[in-house]
Amino acid sequence: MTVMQCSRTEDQLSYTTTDNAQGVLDLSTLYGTWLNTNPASGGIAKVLLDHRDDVLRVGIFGVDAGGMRDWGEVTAEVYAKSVDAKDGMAFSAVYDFGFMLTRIQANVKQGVLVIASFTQFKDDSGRANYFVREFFHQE
Amino acid sequence: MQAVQYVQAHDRLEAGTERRADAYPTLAPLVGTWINTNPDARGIVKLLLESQDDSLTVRAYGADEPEPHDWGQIQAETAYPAGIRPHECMGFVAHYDFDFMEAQLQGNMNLGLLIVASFNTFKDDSGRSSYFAREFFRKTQDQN
Repeated sequence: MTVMQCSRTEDQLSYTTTDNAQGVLDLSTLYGTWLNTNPASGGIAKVLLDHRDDVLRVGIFGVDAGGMRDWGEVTAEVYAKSVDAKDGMAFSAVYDFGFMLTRIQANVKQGVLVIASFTQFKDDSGRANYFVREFFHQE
Repeated sequence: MQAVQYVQAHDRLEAGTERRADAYPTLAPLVGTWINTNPDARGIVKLLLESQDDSLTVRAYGADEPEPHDWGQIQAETAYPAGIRPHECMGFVAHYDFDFMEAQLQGNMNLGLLIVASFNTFKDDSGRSSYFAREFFRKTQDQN
């Protein structure tokens, strides 16, 4: 019998599984259009979550003076709440704009999509990297 | 003068702000020993954050018996202040690769707590789902 490696107690399965393939997570909780709960936000205005070919796709729109700025679409890694669970409730994605890179960390909690963004500048503008957390409701 | 690129209002420097490419935010708010606020935690029980040559290092300990499992020390990929102006660092991203799984840690401070989100992906054939966890840590004076 193969010993299952763990980095912490949380990695341990609560049951014995004979299925050796990583199952596909149910992403239905995440799909849809999510709007920032803060109308005065200077960060992300809207998030579109969709799927094609069993992959979660993320489309983000940033707040801009003349409206919204489309960041484009990227694929995301999806996560459940535990090693046993099959419902996707969190995702991570990366936007690389060339002059800056933004890591997106998101999870659904009590019907709210919580997004933490870690932004790193790669140009010579002198801007410091920064972190922001924002909240979104489903449209 | 080259235009400063941005994708959201947060990215824009205020008009007249002096841009200093050599300004390094201090790591002091992050540096220290952080203990999980949940004494029954099954995930990360302790984090040691240290400053070495202006870089942040991370050593995490996972819940285990008879004692926590030392994940080893790694260098944080990036440290983050709270705004685009030079400021105290209050966030970081670090990546652990254990071969059988990978854990990306994303931490930020809020109201004196360190909040760490871990994104955990299994690379073995164990059938375990990739999972997300968020835990809360308080700073202690202990170095162990």
